[in-house]
Amino acid sequence: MISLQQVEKVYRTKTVETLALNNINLHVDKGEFLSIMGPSGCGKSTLLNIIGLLDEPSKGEVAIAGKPVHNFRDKELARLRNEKIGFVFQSFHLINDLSVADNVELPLLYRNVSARERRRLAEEALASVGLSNRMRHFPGQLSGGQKQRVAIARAIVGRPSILLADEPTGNLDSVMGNEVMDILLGLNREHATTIVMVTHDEGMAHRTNRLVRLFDGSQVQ
Amino acid sequence: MIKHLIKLIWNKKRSNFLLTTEIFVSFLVLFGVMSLMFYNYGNYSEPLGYQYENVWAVYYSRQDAPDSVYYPALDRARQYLAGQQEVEAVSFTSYNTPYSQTTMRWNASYEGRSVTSEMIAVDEDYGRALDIEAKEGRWMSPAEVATAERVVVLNRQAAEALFGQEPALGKMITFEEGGLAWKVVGVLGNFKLGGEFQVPKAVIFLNHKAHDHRADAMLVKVKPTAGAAFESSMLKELSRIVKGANIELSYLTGQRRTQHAFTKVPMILAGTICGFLLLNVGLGLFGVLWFAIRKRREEIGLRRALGATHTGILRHFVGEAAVIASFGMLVGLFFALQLPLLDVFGLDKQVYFQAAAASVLFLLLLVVVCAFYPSRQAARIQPARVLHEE
Ligand SMILES: Nc1ncnc2c1ncn2[C@@H]1O[C@H](COP(=O)(O)OP(=O)(O)OP(=O)(O)O)[C@@H](O)[C@H]1O
Ligand SMILES: [Mg+2]
Repeated sequence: MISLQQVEKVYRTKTVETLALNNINLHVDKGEFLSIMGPSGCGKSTLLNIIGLLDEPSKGEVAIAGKPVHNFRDKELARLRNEKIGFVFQSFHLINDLSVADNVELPLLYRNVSARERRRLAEEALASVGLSNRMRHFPGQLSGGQKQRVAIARAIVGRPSILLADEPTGNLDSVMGNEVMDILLGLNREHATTIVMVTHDEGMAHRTNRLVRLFDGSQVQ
Repeated sequence: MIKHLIKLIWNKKRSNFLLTTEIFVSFLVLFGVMSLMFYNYGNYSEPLGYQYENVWAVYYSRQDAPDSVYYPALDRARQYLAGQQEVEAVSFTSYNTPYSQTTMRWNASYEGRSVTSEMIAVDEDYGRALDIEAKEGRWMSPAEVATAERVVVLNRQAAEALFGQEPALGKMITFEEGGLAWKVVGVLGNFKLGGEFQVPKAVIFLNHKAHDHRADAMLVKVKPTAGAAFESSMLKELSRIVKGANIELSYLTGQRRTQHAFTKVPMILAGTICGFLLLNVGLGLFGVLWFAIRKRREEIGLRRALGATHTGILRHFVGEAAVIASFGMLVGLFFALQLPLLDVFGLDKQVYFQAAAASVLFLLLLVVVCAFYPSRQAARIQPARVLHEE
């Protein structure tokens, strides 16, 4: 499903050059639930952004669903992000000026889906994270756990085959964190969604199929 | 997508209110200025009806000469002018010459219908002096003028007002209740006495010899080669011939310039003020969008992550600006269209519709141009970077 070969990422600023990722070889099978751990600044988010096609590697090959993406144009990348990949961010990134339902509908806006179908799919996604009764709320009126569940609903509304989650429980207390984790496990089990999750929580990591550890941009396990 | 934009803007109505108001106000101002311009342009594009180049107007004003001396002297002055090599045509006229800002309006009637019309007392050569052909019939003849027959030539507007679709030639019109009847011998096209920017109005030319007061101004059509030397010798001769009267000369081209200034100065003034306002609005828009886009970097990154393309983001932000502007213009249109509905100024309704359409197009263009650059910046935002910032 996801394949990275000898991926390297260098950030260059005027003064320093940071090697954020160094020779990463990673293969994630369809339906696998992978967690990534490592100390702060070791390159976890960078790796997730590269898998999610939000960033390009400085060297190496990325293939999604068997297709190498290095010479894809913006339009093709956008389409792949839209149809194959769902993102959950540590800091939710909900649009405060849109209602919960409108936030969840966002990915469908970039596809050919009628307004009615969008609404139906959003309702379904919200139901699956247990937020059917918060459709008309605005993000400002939700708790952290609820916000993250809205973000998950948004990530899955387009039925992506890959879900990328960057510390989805990092901003939540353990009860809410567990709720979110249960939803992710459910998705993985019921829809065979391939999930890559960055976490700092050993307990969470152990509930997944496989664990990859990063240290200073390199894979150590 | 439009629905999404409208929803997004509606939810942020408080922060978009200022921009909408600004667009609303500029729409109204632009609409006003555009109406004025379309009105003037509409009039300007109507034919003037005569040739003013190389035409000089000579005005006598009688001081103490009695009729018995003054009028024969005027005839001699006209004869002198007609005999000059530099003169192509000369005609008597009342003081209301083209561009002179003098008018003389009477009520003319025919079988119960009447029209308030400009009256110009002329002789047989008026048409030659200003190069006006009769559309129907003819100008008055030398014989009719010599024998003081009551004949008139009407312009189109006068003829339509008095006779509608009926033929005008041969009809008898009067100027006062139970007054003497005047016979129509010719019909012209437009004749815009006040110049290019004037609304075409009714004008009636009557035989000055049949009128109580004979005309004591003259229009002199000269050859293009006639210069200052001829002008001064002519003036000297004209004052020698007509004693007991002052004489004054002006070029129609000069009077035309003055007349045009009256129309153009307000238009230029309004246009300049409007231009500054629009510049201000444009810069304001640019700034507001620039700022808004900086504040919405996270949202832009998110949209990119969810599948928006470069051009999708560009379109989104240009579209948002256009929708906000449309709200303002819609409110503006509501007020603007009251003018033709209530018919406040009595202008042709076409003028308002043209002005409204032009204002809408212009403002939309302005908004799109101002939104384009900030929106392109937005499209270039790197999603990984902005989603990283917290
Ligand atoms: N846009 C950038 N420009 C320069 N350096 C960057 C940029 N983004 C990340 N880095 C650097 O790359 C390294 C990896 O960053 P990354 O965000 O991937 O770490 P992380 O493992 O996600 O950390 P955390 O657990 O704190 O989120 C860090 O040293 C960081 O400073
Ligand atoms: Mg990180």
